[in-house]
Amino acid sequence: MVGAVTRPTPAPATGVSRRAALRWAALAPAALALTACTTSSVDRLEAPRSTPPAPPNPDQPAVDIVVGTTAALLDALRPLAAKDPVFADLVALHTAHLERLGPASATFASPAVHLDVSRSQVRDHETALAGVLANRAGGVHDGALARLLAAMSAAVLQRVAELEA
Amino acid sequence: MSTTIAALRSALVDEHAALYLLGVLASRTAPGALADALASSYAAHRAVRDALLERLSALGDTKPPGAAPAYDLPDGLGTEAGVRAAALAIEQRACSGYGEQVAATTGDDRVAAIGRLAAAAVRQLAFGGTATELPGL
Repeated sequence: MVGAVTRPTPAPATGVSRRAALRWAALAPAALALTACTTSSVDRLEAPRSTPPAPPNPDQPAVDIVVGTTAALLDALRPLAAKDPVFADLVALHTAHLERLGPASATFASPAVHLDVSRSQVRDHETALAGVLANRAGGVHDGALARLLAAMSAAVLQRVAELEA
Repeated sequence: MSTTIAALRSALVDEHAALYLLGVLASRTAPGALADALASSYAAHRAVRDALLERLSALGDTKPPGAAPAYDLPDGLGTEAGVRAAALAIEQRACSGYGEQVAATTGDDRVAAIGRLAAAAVRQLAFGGTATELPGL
C-alpha cells in the first residue's frame, strides 16, 4: 500500500517557468492529500485481507470441556450398549448432543471413564455430566448456547431418573 | 423494562396459568400415583411462582402480573388419561418457558432457570412423557 503513494514530479531545473514551479508548489499538498485519501480508501477496501483473525469465541473453552466430558463418557458406554437398552439410549443421546455441539477446538483432557454393566455406576457418571452441562450453561456468554446446554443437562437428568426407577 | 424483568414477568404469567390448571386437574383426580404427581408438580410450580415474585420485587417491579380469574381448560379432562395428558402439556410448556428464561437471563436468574428446566423435564416422566433429546428447546 505504501508504494502506491506518488509524489508530484519536481520541477525540472530548466525549461519550467518559476510561475509553473510555484503553481506546483501550491498544488503539491492538495495532490498529496488526494493521493493519501485514495490510498486510504484502497486500504479500507482491502482491509479484510490484512485484518488479524477474529477474536476467539469466549464460549469455546466451555464447549471444549462439554465435548470432552461427553465424548469420554460416550466412549465408555459404547461397549455396554448391547447389554442394556438404557445404555443404548444414552449412547444415542450423547452422540446426538455431540453432533449439536460440533467438534472441539482443542483437546480437553477429560479423564477416561471406566464402566461396568452397573446401572448405578452409569447413573453416577451421567449425573456428573448433567452437572457439567448445567454449570457451563450458567456461565457461557451466548444465551442460545446456554439454553442448548441446559436442555442437554435436562435430557441427561431424564435418563438418570429412568435409571433410578 | 430490562430483558431480565421481561423474562421473569413472562415466566410468572406462565406459572399462574400452570397453577390454575394443576389445581383443576388435582380436583378431578382420585387419590393415587397420578394425584401424588399432580400434588408434587403443583408444589414445584407454586415455589417457582413465589420465587419469581420475590425476585421481581427485588428488581423493583412493584406491579408484577397477577393471575387471571380463569384459564381455558383443555378437552378430555373426564378421564385419567386426559388429566395425565394435560399435566404433561403443562410441564412441556414449562420446559419451553424455562428454556427461554435461560437464554434471556444471566447469573443467578439463569442458574435458577436451568434448575427449573431440569426439574420440569423430569416431572414430565411422571405424566407419561418420554425422555427427549433436548427438553425445552
